[in-house]
Amino acid sequence: MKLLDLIDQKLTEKLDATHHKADILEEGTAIYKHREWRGLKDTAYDFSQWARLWGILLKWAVPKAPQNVKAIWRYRWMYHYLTVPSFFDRLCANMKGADLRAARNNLNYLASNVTGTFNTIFDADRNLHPGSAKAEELNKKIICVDELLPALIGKGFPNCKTILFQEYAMYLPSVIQQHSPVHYINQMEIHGLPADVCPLPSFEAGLAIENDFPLIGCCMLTSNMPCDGSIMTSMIQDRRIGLPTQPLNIPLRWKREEVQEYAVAEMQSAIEFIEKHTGEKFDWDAFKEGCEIWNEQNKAKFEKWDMNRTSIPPHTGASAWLYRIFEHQAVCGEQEALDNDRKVNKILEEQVAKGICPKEIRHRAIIWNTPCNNYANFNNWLLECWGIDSVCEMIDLHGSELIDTSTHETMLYGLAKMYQTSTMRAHTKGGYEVMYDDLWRKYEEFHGDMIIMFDQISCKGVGAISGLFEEGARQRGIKMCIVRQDLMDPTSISRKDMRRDVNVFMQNVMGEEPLDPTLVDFDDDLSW
Amino acid sequence: MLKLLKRLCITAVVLFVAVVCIYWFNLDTKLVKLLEKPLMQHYDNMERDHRM
Repeated sequence: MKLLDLIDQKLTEKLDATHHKADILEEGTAIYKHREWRGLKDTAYDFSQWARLWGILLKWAVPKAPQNVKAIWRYRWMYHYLTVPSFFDRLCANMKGADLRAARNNLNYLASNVTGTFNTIFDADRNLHPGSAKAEELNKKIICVDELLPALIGKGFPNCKTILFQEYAMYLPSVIQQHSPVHYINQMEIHGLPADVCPLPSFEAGLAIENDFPLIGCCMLTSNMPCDGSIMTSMIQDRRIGLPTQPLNIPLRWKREEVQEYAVAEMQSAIEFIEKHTGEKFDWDAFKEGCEIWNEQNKAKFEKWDMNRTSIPPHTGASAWLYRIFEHQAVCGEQEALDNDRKVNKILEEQVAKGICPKEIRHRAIIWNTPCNNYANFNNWLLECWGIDSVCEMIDLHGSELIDTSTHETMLYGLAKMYQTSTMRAHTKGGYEVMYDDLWRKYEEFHGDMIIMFDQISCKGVGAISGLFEEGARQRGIKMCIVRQDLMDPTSISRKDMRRDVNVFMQNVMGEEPLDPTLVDFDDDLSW
Repeated sequence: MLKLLKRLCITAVVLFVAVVCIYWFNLDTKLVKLLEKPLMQHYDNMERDHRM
């Protein structure tokens, strides 16, 4: 036996004898007492990527230390970004081989991009630099868009920065740290706003009420998400932020050809609005380049889906879907993101070609409906505890039509289609058949043997058709586990509650024993 | 020259071992956890302009 193999064996016996994950979690906080042992090679790789992450964070923090400390001191949500190394550990839990490498590369790319965006935001922030002429100059070239709108339109304004307004104060903290929305949701409710709306707009409204959004930009494009929460929060944010605002009225029945002309007109109107407020002219060449890069990013995603259809899916879970959301919304058309995709795909292809699968997979699950932000690493737990691999997730499937870049008209058509099929729209808008029929199609395509259906209790839209899913699964003889969650509010449904739904199903319906019994029931209510 | 090289090597090894210890024992996360309570208290005590 080679020396390294012997060292690996000895270390594994000492550091991971039982491979019981809960043994290394601190009581209550679920912080790791020590990091995971994954075998010598994978642990060394994980260490190198952790060091790379710290390099990224220090590269951001040190050059503008006074400004960054001021931002952390000013904004409650900035504290949660300090917990990112722990967050990445949770998203990479139990991973080895290509899965680990893909996850770490994706996540480190996100860290690199987000910290770069922080520099743009904090340099221009009127809260941090009140009355600053320099900040005002920067703001003239910042286009704010609602975080549910992709930034691709900004590719036509290469001299400007397009920032997803709520992404950094709201969305990312909600996945990084489960308790991050709670204070802001409380503020919203204290001020008399309805408590039964989706936590996403509640979090946004709370941020606006507390004046905890960075105040940046020269104009804002908002979305027309047709839910009570979104309508509520839009008004409150508009009043607080005080920017010239235009709603992008994206058609909801996006499968109908007759609405496309209207959709294109909305895109044209949005372009004119941005031109007016930035003083810039839409650059069709730059936009075309952005669209072509986005098409390549989509093709890279199709390759990943193809690999996940095999019996040895190399990369699944939160580090895949979170990266897809971020890529689709914030870094669509970015060459660096495409470079990362190609690097990751090469790693995945090599493993698939060798026929290796380091995961222990008992079930191939299709995960449907919006995932739970306050339990972003739920996929890791499913696999570790019950051997359920998330081979296909609804949240991963948006914005996948390629854009025809041959003329201005076809590009506008493609842009309009992308916006109609973006995050939170591709399946939850477009008619019930989009969400319903696509589930059974994906079940067949990805060779699923069960479905995990999230029941987001605050989402009235999807809640209206939950009975249809149950009936459909029964008719088809498909085992479906319903997991209740409240998107971003851990105080109404906790991670433990979500695990209980799966545990009850796996024990009583599937009649199985867990892979790791210590993970069936453990306390992580206080954890990040 | 050799003495300097020796010192540099020893420093590099010590630093590497320290970084590995920080990684393995999750000391970076535990340090950030210590900052949580004082920072949250600071945010709670900040003057706010609550407005709808």
